[in-house]
Amino acid sequence: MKKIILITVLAFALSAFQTPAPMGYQPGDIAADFSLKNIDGKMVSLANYKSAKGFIIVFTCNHCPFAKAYENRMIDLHKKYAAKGFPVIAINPNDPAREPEDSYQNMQKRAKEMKYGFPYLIDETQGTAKIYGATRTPHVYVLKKGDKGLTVQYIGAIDDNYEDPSQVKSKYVEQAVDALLSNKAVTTTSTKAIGCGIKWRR
Amino acid sequence: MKYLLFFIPLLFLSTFVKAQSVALPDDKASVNPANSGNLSPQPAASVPFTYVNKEWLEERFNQMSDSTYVINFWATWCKPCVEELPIFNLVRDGFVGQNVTVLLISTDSKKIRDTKLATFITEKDIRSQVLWMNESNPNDWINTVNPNWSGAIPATLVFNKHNGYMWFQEGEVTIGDIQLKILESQKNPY
Repeated sequence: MKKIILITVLAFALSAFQTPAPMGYQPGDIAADFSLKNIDGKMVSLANYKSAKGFIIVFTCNHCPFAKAYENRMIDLHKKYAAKGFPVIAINPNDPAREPEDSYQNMQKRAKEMKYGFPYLIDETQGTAKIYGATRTPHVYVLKKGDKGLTVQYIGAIDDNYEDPSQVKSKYVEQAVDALLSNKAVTTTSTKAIGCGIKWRR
Repeated sequence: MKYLLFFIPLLFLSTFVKAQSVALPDDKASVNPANSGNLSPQPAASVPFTYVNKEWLEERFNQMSDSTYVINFWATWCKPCVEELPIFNLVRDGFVGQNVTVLLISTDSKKIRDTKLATFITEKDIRSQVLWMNESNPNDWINTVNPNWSGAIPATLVFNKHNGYMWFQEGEVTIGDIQLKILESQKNPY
């Protein structure tokens, strides 16, 4: 009897301390391709980009103030790195039923207004966001193409100051892509940032 | 041994009974922050919020205290955060005199802090103490709060240093969650 109680108590104690297994990708993992609908109605997969050296995947959306604050920096990243082989691929994972501003129509409108120049995909099933482990917008994954497929090189924020681009000290994504372009290892492979939690379907 | 067996259901029962009573908030006569402990920054009458930073967080987590802290990270622009704010009023009012401190840490920008936050607090009738996170790079302090936090808000923790209790959740919470976690946090040893 005593044993049973001891075991029960221990099991409770242990379960209380257990941290949930990390979901989604960690730096170094192989990333899966996807097929998601772009604002022009066409499906986009990473495999379509034959000459790309990698990708800057940005889980983002229309409504989130952080995503808005980073919108121009996302556009600039594409301008700077698409020609070098690292295009931006933007993905909206939010459930439009919970956030109407993030509907497909509003995505089309926003991309047109801001002349995105890169795909803005809708993750209707939210499956891609879940596989990648995205939790907030914006949430960036830098991928590098290699023999084994696409490896995750960096996960996190675009830089270290969302509010004031002039006060940025570390441009995390640029540092990662620059390192990859010169065949060096990425030094900061993950960062955290405050962001809008992804609006999962209920 | 039989004592123990009796004790376990009793614990659950007492949790239930207490949780029931919590649903009835005290009246608003409780103007003073509920047993805020000696570390809690006291707002001046005219200032509805205080600034905190990473060092403040570290101190809060490291300094011994038998208070239970309920800390919520939010922002005025975050819809799910704003939707769950009334929960923290209920918790604050419901646990008056029970050594529970509710702190709402705003991650709003400087601009919002200076233009909107104070009015927002009044308009939404936020009765718990509001603090403003005075740090420019979240990557510096998110792990201080909890290594499992990705940075998405809302995020909430309930902890009691004296009893070694720590509960963290990224995403929305319910009043039931918080009540239960507070009661758990007050068991010694937890």
